[in-house]
Amino acid sequence: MIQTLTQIDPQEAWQPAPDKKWDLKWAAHLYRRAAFGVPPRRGEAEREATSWELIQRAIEQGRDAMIEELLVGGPGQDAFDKLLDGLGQRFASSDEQLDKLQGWWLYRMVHTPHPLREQMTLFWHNHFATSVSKVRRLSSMLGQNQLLRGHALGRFRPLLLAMVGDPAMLVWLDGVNSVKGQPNENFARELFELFSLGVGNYTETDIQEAARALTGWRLDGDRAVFAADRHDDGQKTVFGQRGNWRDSDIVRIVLEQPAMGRFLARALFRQFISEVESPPDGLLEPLAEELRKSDYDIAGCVRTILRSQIFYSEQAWRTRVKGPVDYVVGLLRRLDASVPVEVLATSMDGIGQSLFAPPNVKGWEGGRAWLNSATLVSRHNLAWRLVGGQDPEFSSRVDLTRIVNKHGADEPAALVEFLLNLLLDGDVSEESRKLLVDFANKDPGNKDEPKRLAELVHTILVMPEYQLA
Amino acid sequence: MLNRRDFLRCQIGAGTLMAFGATVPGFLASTARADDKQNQEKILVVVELTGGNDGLNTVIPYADDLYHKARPKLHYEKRDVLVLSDHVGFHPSLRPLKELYDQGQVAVVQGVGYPNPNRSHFESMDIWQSADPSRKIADGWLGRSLNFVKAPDGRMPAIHVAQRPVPLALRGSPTAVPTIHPNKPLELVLGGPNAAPGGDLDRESSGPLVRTEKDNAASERRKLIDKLAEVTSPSAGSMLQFVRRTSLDTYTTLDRLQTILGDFKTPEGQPEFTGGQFRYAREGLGYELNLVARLIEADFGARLYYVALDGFDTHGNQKGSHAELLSKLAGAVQEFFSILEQSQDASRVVLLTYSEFGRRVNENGSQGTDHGSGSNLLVVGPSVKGGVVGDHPSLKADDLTAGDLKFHTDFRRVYSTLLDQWLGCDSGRVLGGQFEHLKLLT
Repeated sequence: MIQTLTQIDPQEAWQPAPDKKWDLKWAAHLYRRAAFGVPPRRGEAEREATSWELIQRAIEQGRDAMIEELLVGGPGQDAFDKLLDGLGQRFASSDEQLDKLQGWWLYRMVHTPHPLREQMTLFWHNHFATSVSKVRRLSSMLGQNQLLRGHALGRFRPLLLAMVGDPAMLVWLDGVNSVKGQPNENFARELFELFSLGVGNYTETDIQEAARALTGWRLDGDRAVFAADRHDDGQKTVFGQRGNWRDSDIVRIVLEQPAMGRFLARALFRQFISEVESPPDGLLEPLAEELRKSDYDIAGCVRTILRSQIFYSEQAWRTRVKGPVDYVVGLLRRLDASVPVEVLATSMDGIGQSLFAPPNVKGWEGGRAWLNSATLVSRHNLAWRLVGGQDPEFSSRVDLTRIVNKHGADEPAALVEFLLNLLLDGDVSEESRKLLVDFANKDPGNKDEPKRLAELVHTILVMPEYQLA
Repeated sequence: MLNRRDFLRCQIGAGTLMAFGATVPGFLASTARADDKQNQEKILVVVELTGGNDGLNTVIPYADDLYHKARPKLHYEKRDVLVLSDHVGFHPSLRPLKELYDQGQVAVVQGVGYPNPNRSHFESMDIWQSADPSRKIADGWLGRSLNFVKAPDGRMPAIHVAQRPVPLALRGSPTAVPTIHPNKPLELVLGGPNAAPGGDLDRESSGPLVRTEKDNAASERRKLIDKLAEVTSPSAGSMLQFVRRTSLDTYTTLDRLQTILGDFKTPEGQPEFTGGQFRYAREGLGYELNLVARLIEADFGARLYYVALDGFDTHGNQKGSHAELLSKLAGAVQEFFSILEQSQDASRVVLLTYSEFGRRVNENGSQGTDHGSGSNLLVVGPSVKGGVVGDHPSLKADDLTAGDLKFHTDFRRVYSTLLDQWLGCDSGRVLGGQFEHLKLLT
């Protein structure tokens, strides 16, 4: 019987897990949650390595070293970033190329030498959920994306302050319309409700007063400009503090609220540990306190989480639903596939997550909400397009035969064993295993091995277990 | 000759005719249909207006000077509104709804809300959807109602038509509520580009549906996939159990939808209605309500349908966008009922609109409106008792709460009326208390 979160000792939960918690199951778990399923590649030497080899190497080298590697990323980052930053600007130069920009980000996630940073960029995109549907300008969406990437594993204070004056955000939540005498409350409300404190930790008056303090921004082309003549420089009282506040003061005051640490800890818990139940405040408190004491150092907090006892526990195992982006990027990385991702960008809407276009300012709800009959069928059909070997866009780029040949899995039982290890970390019931071996053993009268292999892989990819992270 | 829709009706309603298969004469089919209609279950369609609809510019108190003062840029003159009474009138874009109103098919319920209004989109939406202003109940009123509101023969009792996750309102149901994406294929592709599971429906036959087994391997694999989703293990956590249930529900729904919607022509992989008797938009609320009408017409069996129209969060430059949204809403609802009239289903369908809140009485400086409270909603259908229900809340400064309208009708009174009097289930067990009924139905 799995303990509920209220039964867990908060002090122990965040202590480092014993070293022995490091095998195929837990290494795969770490990389699935923090690196789209696969460790960063170590440059030229590992250019041809399969994801399976990379994970085996990571298991040998030990957990803590691998976590440190995730936090700093692998070699070749600077060149990769420089190239991708330039390409992004090119795609964002026309507002008609949303699918190209989405493909650009997907490509970055699939091939990045710093997968944890990309994973966190996606986390922040959901946290500060901003949609192109209202912003319209791709250059502003790209600007925000680069900003999130730059702060992804940094500190929360400069990130939050940067978001206040971010051009995309200013359009998205009407900051550009908020001027002295006529403040628009939209941004102030979501700042407290969704970005920093959560419902119940502010009053309507705090919102109205903060909205006044946040006035003054306007756009000059793509650039945000603070215009003193549009700013309300009167006295405002926010959370009991009275003064002639402006945006940086509001950020300071927000970060002084005790709810701030808890709110961020809760978001990170849901991202890395579990979506099954909402953790009690008590369980989050050590994490929240670490955040407050470190001036909201994100990397430090993520390190604590990734080493913690609770991360390597049944409370965390398969307790998240893979988000659509996680699902697609993770699948491509696990299968060493280098596909034209811009083609995939247009399929992402059907499986429920269109990058740069979250459904509203609260972001994607995640968890169980990812899966319904429509998204599940789209997932299954997308997986078939990728591995079925019949789609001209993908057939030559996903080489299942190479992977299984390299790892010597040719007779049916060994093949099923290998694929279940590769895709489900070997954690499958005996009954499922047997059904798959029977299927692999069957000879339906054709000797079309690649097709049989594709069907077997696809059958595993549509299993309920595979939908979980 | 029976067409396929007629046949489906016979098949579902008058079981005895089934034995005749394709040879049922037309007059028998129509008799069977008429019998069916009398006994068929009532249906509720809920339309969520996402973002906080500006109630004050939906049902406009044109006779009140305070309205014109509060909305110097956004107000409508009496000559522009569609007059409902000597005090209020519809926004000019609601003409199609005004026509239904004139036929006595629209109830306009004014001053709806709840105490201590929450002005957060998400909190207030949750309150409306859970029907619990204290925020203690974590599932939805429609979902809970499905413990009592049953669909015939164990069929799916509720359907969500959308490109987004199932809303809170539909959660808490004993079965999962499937979502139908309005323009994505409804089949699981397991073989080559054209091989549907179990083969294609034979579209040439006018008789009973024939499945041609074009790809035995695909149908075999489909069985394996079903089996793998059914496997249970004692160690499975709640998340895995959830995915298993969702998978199995999905596979069942797929099969039924393929039976009903199988004759959609899909020239570019997009479903399109055939027959030429309706106008069809390719996306949006109109398209989604058309799909719902189609499912109702074919006796899909669901008692609840849920759709949404997004974009009502009009903080700036609201006039044009709000008019466009209301126009979409009114056109879609009129079209929906005109389809159901033709198929003789309209009288068993009631449609409810709602939004998480109204907007601030005074417009803001961006020619928009900020979050408010206390608003109106519409109940539509031939079985509805048409008219304006309740007074428009006062706009006098002393009567406002923090610049917002004061509600006088708890939204749960609308729910309890529909639950008890329309869906025939005990509202007390769904809402956790008794709420006085409104006079909404004939």
